[in-house]
Amino acid sequence: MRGVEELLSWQAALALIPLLGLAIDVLSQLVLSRITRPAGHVRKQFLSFGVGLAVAAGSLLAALPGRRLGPADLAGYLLLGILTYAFLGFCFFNVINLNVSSMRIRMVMEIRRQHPHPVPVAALRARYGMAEVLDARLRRLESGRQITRRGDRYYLRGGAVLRIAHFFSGLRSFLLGDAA
Amino acid sequence: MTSLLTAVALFLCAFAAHAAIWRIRVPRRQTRALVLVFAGVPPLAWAAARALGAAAAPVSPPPADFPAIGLFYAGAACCYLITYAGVEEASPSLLIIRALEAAADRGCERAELAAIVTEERFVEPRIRALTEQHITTLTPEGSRLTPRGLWIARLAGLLSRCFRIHEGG
Repeated sequence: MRGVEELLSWQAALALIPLLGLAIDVLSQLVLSRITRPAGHVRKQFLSFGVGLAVAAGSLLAALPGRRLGPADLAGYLLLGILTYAFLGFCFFNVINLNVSSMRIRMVMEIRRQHPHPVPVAALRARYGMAEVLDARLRRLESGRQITRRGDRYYLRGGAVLRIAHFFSGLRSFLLGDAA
Repeated sequence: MTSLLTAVALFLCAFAAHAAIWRIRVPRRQTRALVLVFAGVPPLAWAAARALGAAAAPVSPPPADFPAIGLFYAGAACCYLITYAGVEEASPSLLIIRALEAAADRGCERAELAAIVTEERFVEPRIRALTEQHITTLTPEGSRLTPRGLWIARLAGLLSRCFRIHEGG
């Protein structure tokens, strides 16, 4: 009976480690956003994700070896914990990122500013002029070294955004078939 | 290792079910349908394991691992839901990148990219989506937030203040 209780307790604690990592990630992000300049949010997010990952991986490495597990189970629990933390961290990254670049969130915020008065659709269209969106995206892609500008022309440099674009095209074709 | 494999298998089952449904017919409300598929697979898998009884025992993880498996599955499902938004609606950045890839060494002028990043392609579908998702209501005077939309706006405002987020394109 005592063995069962012990088993339950350490395995339940194991499920909490990715949540601990996420809490550290959120906390680090909070601290970094307070002590650094508002710009460069992606770098701050990677940094805080790394801090959370270090805590989660360190906790797993400290907790697991004492459990007399075989190498396969040890690797399995370690991967389960680290991947779970990575998934939670990815969700947090996107929650922050949505607030930075999502057009829909910006529209919602704009409508809220006028609440309870309605915002004419024409005003929304004017507010999100595509020239402004295009310039902001080009600036961001250029500063992220995904594209380069020579004279009045833009060129692709490759990098992560291109791989993401390929991934989405592939997933779209796989899911929608000919309809893609 | 059984727990990790179970968690991965659960996710793959849900993804396979989603792909099969989408191949037959893409649901009108895609996000809601995806949530239903991902929420439905674990109870079905549990029922199947119960029905198989002793035959499933050798590949069943210990019950004490269920919280860890559940968290892995929920995290992976949320990641996929976020990722799927990129399938449903193209992002301006990705379209710019694809256009530059197609142009190769020729490159593109700003005007050529402006012809791709248009209001019809990006603003209109998003205004429509906000209404379809019951975040806003459209009246003859314009767009207004629903109680759900107001809740989302408050949450977004809180996050912006806490993390000092500044909007940008």
